[in-house]
Amino acid sequence: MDENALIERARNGDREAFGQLVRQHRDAVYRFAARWLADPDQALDVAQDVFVRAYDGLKNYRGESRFRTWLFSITLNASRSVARRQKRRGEVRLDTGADFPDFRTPPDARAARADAFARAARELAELPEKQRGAVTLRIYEGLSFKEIGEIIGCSEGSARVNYHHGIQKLRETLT
Amino acid sequence: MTRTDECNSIGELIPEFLAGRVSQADDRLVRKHLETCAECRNRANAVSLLQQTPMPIPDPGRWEHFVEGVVDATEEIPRVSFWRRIWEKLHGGGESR
Repeated sequence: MDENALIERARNGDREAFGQLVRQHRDAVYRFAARWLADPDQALDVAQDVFVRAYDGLKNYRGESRFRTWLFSITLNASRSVARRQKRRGEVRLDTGADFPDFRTPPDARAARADAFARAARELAELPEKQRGAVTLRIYEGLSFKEIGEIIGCSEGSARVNYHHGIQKLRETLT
Repeated sequence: MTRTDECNSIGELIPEFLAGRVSQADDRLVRKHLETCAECRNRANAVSLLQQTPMPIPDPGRWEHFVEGVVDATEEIPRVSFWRRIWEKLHGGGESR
């Protein structure tokens, strides 16, 4: 069954159809939240929340953007709320996956690589929200600037500017 | 070297170039530019590092039951609109879900 048919069925309360949509998009939604938040537990909570919100909000989805783009907009809003709540509490959590085992690289080089990865994830997580959104959606999801603009809430041109500014900052801190 | 329009165009292609998803013509274009522009080489290195950074791995137990968890959570969400529910309440209409 194609995606539009699943959306229509889910809109009418078919939770099995909605389950199929969740299966199709959970990786992308989790991936975006995990890169944006740099925290797998929070990203999983966000991903779950995104799909529950999406089910509730299906009546508002008019198909003007791709379904995945619409889900990414919800993901960004949910991730922002989590990050702001965390900031208010003064918590700093950063799980970069840097301890991911890599048995092919010698231990010293492995430690250096893990440090570099941790630093990269930290610098990405410290970019201003729109720049972080633009960079994450471009380099990990390969989205167009038009779609990125729809998600981060700006024009295509402004999405481009946010991406270039973000990459410039990362170039200054990472190289 | 100052940033040029060419640097901006190349910069937008870098993620796809590094992932090997550009046309042959764009591949040649990017390679040629990177040979002569140290700034863009540094930007490409930063993007490359980010792309190689491992994805934070979700808890396997929670991931395995992710779809069921979401579908269960939607059980509480009514499919009938707010105004329809009000109408049914006022007019004693059918049972609202």
